[in-house]
Amino acid sequence: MRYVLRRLAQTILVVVLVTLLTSAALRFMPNATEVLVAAKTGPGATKEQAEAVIKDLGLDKPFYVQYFSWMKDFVTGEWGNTFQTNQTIASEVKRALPISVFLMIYGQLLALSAAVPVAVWSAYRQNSRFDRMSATTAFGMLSLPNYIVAPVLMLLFSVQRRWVPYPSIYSGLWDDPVAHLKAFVLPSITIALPLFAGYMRLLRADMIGTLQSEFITTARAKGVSTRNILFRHALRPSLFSLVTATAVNVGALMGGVVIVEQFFLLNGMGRLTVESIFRREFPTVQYCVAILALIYVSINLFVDMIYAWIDPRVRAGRALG
Amino acid sequence: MSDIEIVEDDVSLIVPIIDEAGSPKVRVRRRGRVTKWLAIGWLTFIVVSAIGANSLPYINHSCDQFESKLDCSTALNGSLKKIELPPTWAFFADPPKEPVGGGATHVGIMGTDRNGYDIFARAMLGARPSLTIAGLAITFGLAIATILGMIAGYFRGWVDVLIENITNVLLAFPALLLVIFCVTFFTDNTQSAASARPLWPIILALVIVSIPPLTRLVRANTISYAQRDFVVAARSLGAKGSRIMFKEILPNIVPALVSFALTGLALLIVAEGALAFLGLSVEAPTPTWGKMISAGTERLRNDVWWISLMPALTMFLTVLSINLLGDVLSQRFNTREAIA
Amino acid sequence: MNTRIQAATRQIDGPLLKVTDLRTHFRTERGLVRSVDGVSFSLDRGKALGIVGESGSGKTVLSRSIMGLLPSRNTERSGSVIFEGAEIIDRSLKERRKIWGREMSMIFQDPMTSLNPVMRVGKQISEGLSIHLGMDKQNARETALKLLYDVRIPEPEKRLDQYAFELSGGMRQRVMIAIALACGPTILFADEPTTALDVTVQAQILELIGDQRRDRNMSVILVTHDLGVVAGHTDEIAVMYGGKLVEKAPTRTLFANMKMPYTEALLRSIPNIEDPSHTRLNVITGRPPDLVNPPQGCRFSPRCEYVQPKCVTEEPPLLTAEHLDHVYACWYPVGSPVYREKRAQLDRQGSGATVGAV
Repeated sequence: MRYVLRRLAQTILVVVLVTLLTSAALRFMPNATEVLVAAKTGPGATKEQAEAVIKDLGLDKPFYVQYFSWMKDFVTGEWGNTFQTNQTIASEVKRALPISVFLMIYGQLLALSAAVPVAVWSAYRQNSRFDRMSATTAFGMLSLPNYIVAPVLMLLFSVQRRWVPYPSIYSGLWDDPVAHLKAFVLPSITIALPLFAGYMRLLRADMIGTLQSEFITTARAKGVSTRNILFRHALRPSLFSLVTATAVNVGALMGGVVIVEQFFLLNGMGRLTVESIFRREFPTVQYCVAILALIYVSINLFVDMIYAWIDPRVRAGRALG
Repeated sequence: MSDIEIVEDDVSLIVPIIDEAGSPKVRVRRRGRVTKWLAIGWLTFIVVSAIGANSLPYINHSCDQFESKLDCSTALNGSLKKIELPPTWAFFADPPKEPVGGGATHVGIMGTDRNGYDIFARAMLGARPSLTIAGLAITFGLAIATILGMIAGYFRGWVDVLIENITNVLLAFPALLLVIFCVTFFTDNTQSAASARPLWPIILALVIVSIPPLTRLVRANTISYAQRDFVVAARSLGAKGSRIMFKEILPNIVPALVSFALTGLALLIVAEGALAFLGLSVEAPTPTWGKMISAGTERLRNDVWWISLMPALTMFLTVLSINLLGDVLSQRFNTREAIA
Repeated sequence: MNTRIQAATRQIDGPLLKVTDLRTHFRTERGLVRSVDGVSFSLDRGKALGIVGESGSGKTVLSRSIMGLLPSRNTERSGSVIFEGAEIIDRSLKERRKIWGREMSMIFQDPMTSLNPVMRVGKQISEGLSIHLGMDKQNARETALKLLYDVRIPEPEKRLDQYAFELSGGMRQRVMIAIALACGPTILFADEPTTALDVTVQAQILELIGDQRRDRNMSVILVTHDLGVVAGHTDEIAVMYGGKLVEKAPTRTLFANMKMPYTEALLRSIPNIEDPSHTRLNVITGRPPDLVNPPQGCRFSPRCEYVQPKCVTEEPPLLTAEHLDHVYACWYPVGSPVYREKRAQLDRQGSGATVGAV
């Protein structure tokens, strides 16, 4: 219980720090006030208009007051409106978030479902032809930026073979599953390639370590089949680094796949954030960053629980501490 | 005596485990050597071509020698072929039906773009900003990270905690968002996003994002050396902290630093490309790899693939080569570690 | 427990296990490592054989080689292993797997590392039961519980759902034994089963293995570096050195009338409680032989106190002693005139009983 509380306190602290840093950066940016006013009213605003905006956004108040009132708004959900489209920021986030979540989940699923069997087999047949080939492929994939992969995939599957539409047209999973999957298949593959390579290498290395353990010999001496040795005995104790990496990537993928979202014209969180930065709509940026930070830290919390599932020793250690 | 006993313990069992990786490893090593030289060769080629890009024989077919596009079209009017042609070797690609403009048909090994520019020549010109930005950023980033990481790893205590926490907070942002944010922050905000942009905000942004992960790596390396006997010995002889850091620890972590630098360089080339892709890199007339790839994607829908994919290939091979060298280096470094 | 799975009591002629000229060599970059180099012995049902030797003598490889547990890559295995009258050395992995756990099973040195850290104890025991005997979950769990009773673990019900790290070293080894005994094997290989345990627990574990052997009419091959361990718990002892069998005799005969100077040296390296405190421990000097380039002649000759010119040039064959079931490989065995002369000479030099103290 003490452990959970301590972790929770850490989590809140990180969110506060991240939002504080963002607020400060946006507030103390050179000419921040002018930029904001210009963004809100458009060029050539009158003095009265400018003052109204400053008052409205509370730019005349000291920084800490601004931060606290922002924090209050964030918690109560009164986030205000976007400048250009004049929608509520909450509704914009609500529209972008599912797209990012879908993209992240599909990318991770694709990467993991390919990486786990390949890594397990590579580790089992260390230095075999299969192992060397998958290692080389993974190495190549890690040097392949997504803005190269995306155009190639688009060329192959949307232009030369007209299998999926370009750009992706988002539709809900339950509204039209086929269109939904068609919209996400290329972006997901683009995201999954480097993830696959990274996961594969991590799991392979850990798996090789595990397979040299004595308890694997025990399992062999029991007559357990190779398949069960690999997947029932060796896999779970080898999952630590993979789980950590997967978790870190959840956060990174939510806001960090701007390029993919931009290329396939999917309006996810990354695109919303970047477009807001471009348009100097700082309130929107602030809320987006806060949401992303929240996701990042809650995933970290969640992963801690996963650790306990993987290794009962962690569970016992925590019960003591 | 007892040490020897431990080393010899159950030789008969340990040996086969070592050996399982034995004979194929020899083959891997030999193949690694060939690829290593291929990588070095490609990088040399890129660097030399980038430096001498203006004297490339194909440069006549591009407008890059001119101050502006207008100069170019007036000077080369007639002789410049204003159509996109596939690379020489791409016999399978359909050449465009109707040439716009006229004159000599030049087709480079990477084809020509819409303006009739030779893509190879432009890709070599594009190597300049890409490599310069990434190279400068990693140099500054690594220099700062080395100092921070060594201070954190050597002195520990509150400095370590402070540096650790700052890196943690910075790492909580998605890296690309952070770069975009920094570029915007340092750019003159009174102008719109896609307008003229000097080099330094981009470099500064890349330096900032590269510092946290590099600091972590340097810190970890420093800690592993700070507890070694020779450092402890130097300290017991009364050497000053700064002296130990720079005379005893730094020389030992240099191999690791070089391998970080290479991996970081590759990552930053990619990151610069990402910025260019979003329209955030250097201003318009200068080509960069990212911008070329990005600009070419418009024509992909018409199955004109080389404009985007040829610079992409150049970039991919460069990043791959740098990563490969980094890998070779870190492997050699690790084996040396293991022997010592 | 009448529901216990007993070793199959098939009637066969001859010994249960007959190993003939077994060789196990590993291809390495350094050359061929001859870990087991022509070992022959046989073992009857219900008997216990001790295999004794230093680290690197090939005893562990021998036991794994008999079971066929070694990875096949870069391993050369030849000779013959006849189990219940059938040759098993050339069996495929799939066929060997049917033997593992069911007919032959093994317990290892360090019960901490040889138990799966993330699998419940009950699951680890019942796994073999469902593989070999096709038991359903409930049945396997009940049988696992009975096995835990058999190996005398305190509070066995509680243990079923615990993990290895929650148990003491002795309990872990009992769990290991329960796993090995689960399907009622005919032969149990115990590879240094007590080395990693507290002295107080060591005797209990050996006792337990002995009791189970008698209860189940099971054969045991006890692999150890410690002659003291095998003394009270085996019917026969085989001494290995440098991948070869150098002496083999019924336990009583061996201790009463050992022939190999190596066996003698091993025995002397056991500390004696009756010695005054701070007595120097007798250690065999030198290192175990290099199995890639074994020494010429007798493999023990470079370290032997009684070495003669013949020992260095000619390899001694396995000779039969006064008792027909006692074999040894030495030109000048303990008790022979040459041995006595050398012994007297050494004693005169004042080294006493010390064999090269370190």
